[in-house]
Amino acid sequence: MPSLTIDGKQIQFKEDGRTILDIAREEGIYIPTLCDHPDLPPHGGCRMCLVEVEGMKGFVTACTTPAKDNMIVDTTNDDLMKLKRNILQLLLIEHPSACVVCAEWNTCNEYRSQPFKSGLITGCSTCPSKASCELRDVVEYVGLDDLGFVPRYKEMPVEKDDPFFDRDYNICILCARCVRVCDEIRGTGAISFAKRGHETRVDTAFGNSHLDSGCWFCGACIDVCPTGALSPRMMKWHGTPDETVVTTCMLCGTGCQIEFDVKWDRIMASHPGSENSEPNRGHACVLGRFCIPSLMNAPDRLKIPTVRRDGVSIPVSWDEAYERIAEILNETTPGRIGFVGAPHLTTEAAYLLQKLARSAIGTSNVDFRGSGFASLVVRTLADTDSFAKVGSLRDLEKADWIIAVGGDFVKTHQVVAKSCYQAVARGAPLILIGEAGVNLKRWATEHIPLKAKAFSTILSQLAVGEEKLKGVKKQHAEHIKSVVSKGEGAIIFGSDILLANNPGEAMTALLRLAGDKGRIYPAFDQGNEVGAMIAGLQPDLLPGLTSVGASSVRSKFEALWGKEIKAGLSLEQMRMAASKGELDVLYVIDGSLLAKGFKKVKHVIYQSPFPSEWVNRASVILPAAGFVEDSGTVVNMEMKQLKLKQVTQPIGKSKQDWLILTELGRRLGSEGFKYKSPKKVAKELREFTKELDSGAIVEIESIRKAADWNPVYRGAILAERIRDLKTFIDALPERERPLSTESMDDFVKRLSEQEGANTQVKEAA
Amino acid sequence: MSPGNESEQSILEIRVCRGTGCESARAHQLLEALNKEVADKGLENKVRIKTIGCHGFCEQGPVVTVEPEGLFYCQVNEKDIKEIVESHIIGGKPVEKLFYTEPATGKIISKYEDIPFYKGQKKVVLRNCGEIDPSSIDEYIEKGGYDGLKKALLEMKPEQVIDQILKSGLRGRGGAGFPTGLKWKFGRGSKSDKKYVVCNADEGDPGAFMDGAILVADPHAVLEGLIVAAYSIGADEGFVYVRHEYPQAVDSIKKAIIDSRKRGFLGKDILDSGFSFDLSVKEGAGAFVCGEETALMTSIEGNRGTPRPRPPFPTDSGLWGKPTCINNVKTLATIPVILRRGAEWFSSIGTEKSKGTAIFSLTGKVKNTGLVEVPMGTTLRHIIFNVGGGIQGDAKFKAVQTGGPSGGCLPADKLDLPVDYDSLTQAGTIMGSGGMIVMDETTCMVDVARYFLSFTQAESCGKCTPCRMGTLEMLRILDKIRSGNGEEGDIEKLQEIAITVKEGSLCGLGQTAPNPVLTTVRYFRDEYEAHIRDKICPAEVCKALIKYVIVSEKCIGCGACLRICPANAITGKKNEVHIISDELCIKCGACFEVCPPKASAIDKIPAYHGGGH
Amino acid sequence: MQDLSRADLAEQVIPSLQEIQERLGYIPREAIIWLADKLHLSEQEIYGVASFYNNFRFTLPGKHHLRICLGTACHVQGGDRLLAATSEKLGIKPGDTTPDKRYSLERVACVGCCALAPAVVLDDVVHGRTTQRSLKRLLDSVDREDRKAKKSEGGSQ
Repeated sequence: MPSLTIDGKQIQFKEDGRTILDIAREEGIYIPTLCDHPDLPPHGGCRMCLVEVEGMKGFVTACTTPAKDNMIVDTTNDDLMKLKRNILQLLLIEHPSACVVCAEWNTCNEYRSQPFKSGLITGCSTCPSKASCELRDVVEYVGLDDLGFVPRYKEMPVEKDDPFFDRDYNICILCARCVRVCDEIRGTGAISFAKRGHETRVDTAFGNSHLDSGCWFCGACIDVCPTGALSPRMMKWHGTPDETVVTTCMLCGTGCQIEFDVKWDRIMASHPGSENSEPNRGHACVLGRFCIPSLMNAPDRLKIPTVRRDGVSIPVSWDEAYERIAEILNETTPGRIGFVGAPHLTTEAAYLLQKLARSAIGTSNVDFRGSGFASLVVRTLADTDSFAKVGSLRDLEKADWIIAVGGDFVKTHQVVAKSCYQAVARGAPLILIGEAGVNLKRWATEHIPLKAKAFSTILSQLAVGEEKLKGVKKQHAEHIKSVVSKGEGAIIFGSDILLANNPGEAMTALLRLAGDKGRIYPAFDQGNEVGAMIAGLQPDLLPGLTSVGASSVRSKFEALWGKEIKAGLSLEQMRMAASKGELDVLYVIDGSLLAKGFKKVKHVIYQSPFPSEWVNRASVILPAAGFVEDSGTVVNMEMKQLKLKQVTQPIGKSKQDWLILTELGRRLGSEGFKYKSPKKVAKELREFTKELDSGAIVEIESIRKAADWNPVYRGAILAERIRDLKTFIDALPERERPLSTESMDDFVKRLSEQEGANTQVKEAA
Repeated sequence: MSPGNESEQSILEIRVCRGTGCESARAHQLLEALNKEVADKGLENKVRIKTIGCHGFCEQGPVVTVEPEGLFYCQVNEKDIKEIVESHIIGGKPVEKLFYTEPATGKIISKYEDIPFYKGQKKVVLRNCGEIDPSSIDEYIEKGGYDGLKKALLEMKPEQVIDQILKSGLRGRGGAGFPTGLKWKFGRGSKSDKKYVVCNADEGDPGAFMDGAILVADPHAVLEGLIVAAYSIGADEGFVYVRHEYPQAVDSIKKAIIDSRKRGFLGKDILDSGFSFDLSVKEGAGAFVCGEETALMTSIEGNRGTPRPRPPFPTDSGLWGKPTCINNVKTLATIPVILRRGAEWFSSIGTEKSKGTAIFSLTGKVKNTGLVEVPMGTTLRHIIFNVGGGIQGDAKFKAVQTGGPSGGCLPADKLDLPVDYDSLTQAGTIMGSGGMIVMDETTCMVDVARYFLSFTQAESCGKCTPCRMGTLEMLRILDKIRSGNGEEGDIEKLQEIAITVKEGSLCGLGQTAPNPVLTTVRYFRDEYEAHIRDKICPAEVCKALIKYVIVSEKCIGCGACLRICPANAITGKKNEVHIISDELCIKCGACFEVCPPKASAIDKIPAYHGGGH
Repeated sequence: MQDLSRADLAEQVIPSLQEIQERLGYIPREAIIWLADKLHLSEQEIYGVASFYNNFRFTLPGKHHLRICLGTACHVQGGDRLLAATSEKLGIKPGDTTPDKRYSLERVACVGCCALAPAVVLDDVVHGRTTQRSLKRLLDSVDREDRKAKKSEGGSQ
């Protein structure tokens, strides 16, 4: 095995292109770096990782030099340290933040966790990066205690006009991490270096705002910045957190692991977790990065149970609330009661909701809002026994070709898009079918802007390898066919597929198109759509995706739960029944459910963290915990079960959904509700999900319209609550346009006509 | 017209140089006039007019030579055309007043081979420059062009070609002097389905024009060398990266590529050898750093031209991650002649470690400015005083600068230094790409150091810290010194930063940028000290340390200075003594220049020592 | 488009910018957006490249483009003094255009005319061995011609 020596320590390693820095890091040998970042390809700009290698001329950067057998590396000799001190002094000319060499450093370290206010001049109040400043670490390591040169304040105004984060390029050290992550990892290129030499700066084209530059506000630039040049506005002032906790984000179906800063038992900020946590590996989207604290700490969160008496909602104890619910449910025929869950419930809570309906009440009128897409995907997969065809985001990055159907995934699923871009950057062709935004179109090799209703036809034609593709020019069709004919493909698709003439056909076609080696990537819009399906939150499905129609399994459940089970009403059927006056009680767990059609329902029981239009007519309101206050599991778009870890205590008197349902079940006198924790629920559910049964594909009834991206969470419309998010979403249509196909000649002609007589137009050579 | 025909031996060939130098001296007007005159007189059968690339002696431009006699007309004006045609072409009597006059002796020399400027040179790479019409591939072939390529492709294996180049001892002419054969060997050794070769013609050194001149004067030699390089390493695609500021060179190489392709020297299955290769031209967009090979590649790929760390070296991972071999124009132009005449012949020229010839663009305060080629090992003295004819106005030699912004300045006691890679490096400068700028007593060495540093500072790409901030900080100190605010310790601080930049920078630009400062400090420290301690610029260049005054006794009140002054800093009535306002004067020196020699009333004096000088 | 890889598209950035500048005289904002679309890159990526290189301008140059060479040979022969004087005369800094849009002044690193230093380039024509006086004469003659041209234009209308 090859070996090398670093600072006298002999290290065995595998020669696979890893650099000296990689090996040193693995061995716990610290080599200072500022421009290097594990997520990014080596840059070699800051020069802080210079080392001396015997037999190599001068000093070399550890971040770019591959480790070779028999190398003898020195990282700390006097010449090197002197050189590094000198370089660092030069670097600090551009970073006029006195704190790096401040005499009060030690004292400051102790009190860093406090919010502070002090003069602009010291530079220390304006830097938000006190909890972890990589520059300070390097200064400390190199042993610099004085500035060698007069700092140059560049006098650039701090950029504060864009949503979510401020940019103070006066303390930017030009390490290029932000530019590289935006360009090379996220594929957005919303920022770039402009000019050169000491005038180099991070900028947008012509100094446009980030709203105009195509920024998605994913925050990746902030996460890699080694200084305080980029700072999320909301987390600027709270100092160091008491603790950080990682949990799964439920604002879409990606299942990102997000790290929360907790202080005073409230979440203060969120970051993507470490590079090693699947599926997002250190990346997030605008929602996960910036929106969760504002959402969860919203002042209008429901905090106390209420019961409506004489038309007035009155705060009550939980017992009183349960009592009132029991009254309502007991006086109603089970068949006239409906339960509408949320795609944001944990799998455990979803299981408990349907169990409550089926075992404590005796109805299968259970469904959840927006179940159409999950229903189509999950049932087809179960039918064809092809859950294994669902890929992970890691697989996506390795795809040989990608088809993205119906959706602007860069907008709605930024982290999925990041993985997609990684494949594109490696050279995988991307074919877009349906409407897409500018950013996605730039990555694409082909864009077939078909209407959603045509999806089933084109996918079927592609799947069976037909000569012609309807609505596609011959040359393009041939190219697409040659692309999909080889290698391991990836098909990303979203709920727009429900708008196809025949969604079922489209779904089977894309499975077939993926072939044996390819993978599919259903981009679920909500946190736990798959989990809700598996938990049996469907009128015709029992836990474990068993059809109610399958008598052997049904009778097992009937025996267990002591109630007869037959297929219940789906959400749309409940709406229908309600409009005819055939539904008396509606238990609503998702505030985003439209009230239309439910006017005649006598009683509404509303359980949610957020108020919605249902609050005004609910007989009972139960304040539920938000997902950061809850624990349990969810199933993400990769079909992986992910943990939800409780970050803070539920706000006010609110309770977790699983707990509410357990307590309610017990109050209703049902035997099966003795759980002490979601773990116990999960254990019970696991019994039913061991083998997934195959049932018939049911007709998809909940048709949705292709809507603008408008993230919701149980009745909370995020953009209405978070001003910066609204600014961002409102700005999105502005950037959309068809990619120009104008030729150089036409463009020049148009421009010079615009410019008028001043421009001298020369003929093309 | 076939030149071999005996009956046409009596035909005169008039060659008009259209190198950049001659062109700037209106060579095109001269050419038009000549064509017109010959046509008017119906002399088309008696003379052949041909345009050539740089003939070398730019100082005497526009240059016209007449073959087969080898006569040399210099500083030809369009008004001289009539006389040339009537007297020389019709009358058979050469126009003596246009011959070169040796300044030292006053001797009139008619043939260029007798002129000391040419006599002291040895043309190997520049063999065709000024000899052939660069736009004619036939003339190139006639001179043995593409023979080397034929030999390589049809008679030799790539390894044998590389072996020849290794044996010849040829080192890269781009500046660093890496053995060309070795580079090719590495390129050959890299396994890949795709390889590239690149001709680096991004001659960004301010004060050097050899590469541009060769591309204009002998483009096929460069092409031939590049095709051989491609064959040797196994590349099938190539680029010529040429400065956008050289439009003539761009046109020339583009035409050469088209012609060469037509003749089957480029394209598929070249000369039926089974080897295929083609190339395209990429124009630079004005960034000196792109002369650095990794930056050049990033630029070809369409990015900001910032360099990449090495390793990996381009021969392992270059353009788009594929093995890429990059050679300088002069290196490539040398290849054909090595193949034709053999490695032994080539290695017999030059010194032990530096073989062949060195090409310089000799400029500055030297009498004979132009393009020169001498064997490696020739002394600076020979180049400057024999070939170059000594210092303008017979002033005192002060320093010579080689290697452009990456090189250094050598003082008079280094004049006997042999010019080769290693001797120059030892003296603190570098061979560089071939700029050689001669300086006399009117050149301030602090100002020169500041000039080069301001150049590299402005051209720094900004990627790495030492170069980006170090050059800026050094510039700040030099400006301080130049403005009379220098302090003790500044020189040491300058040296300290210089070492940091040299050792810490990512690419060649930063690693060599401090050289002009370091060498001027090494050889001309007293001049720095004069600026710092005495606040005097001995060469009277640094603006803050001088002022212009009108000596009232000498002023004749002609008003020339008043009219030229762009700052309206001069007042005075006609025929009365004029006065310069210190407040308004921007020290551009325009008045100094236009003051009639008979008066010479304007004087430069030290700004801080009011009285005499 | 489908035949070109992302690398192929990126390779066209600089040549396309050069063609745009050649034909329009500068790189307008619209060109950056247009080119970004054509080459499937972001506007920032194009702008970043364009602003890196000296040759690209984002404003329309003046009618006459005067470039003063400050290569080493020209510097040693007083090129910077020529620049200072011209800058003062035109009242603009290098890189700018006069308010009447008649002249743009630029400093250039080297035009390869070192042997006849100092050199200036006026509207793509190189003038060697320039002196303060010859430059003044050159500009005066341009002014004269422009006035003449304007007069004849005015006369013909």
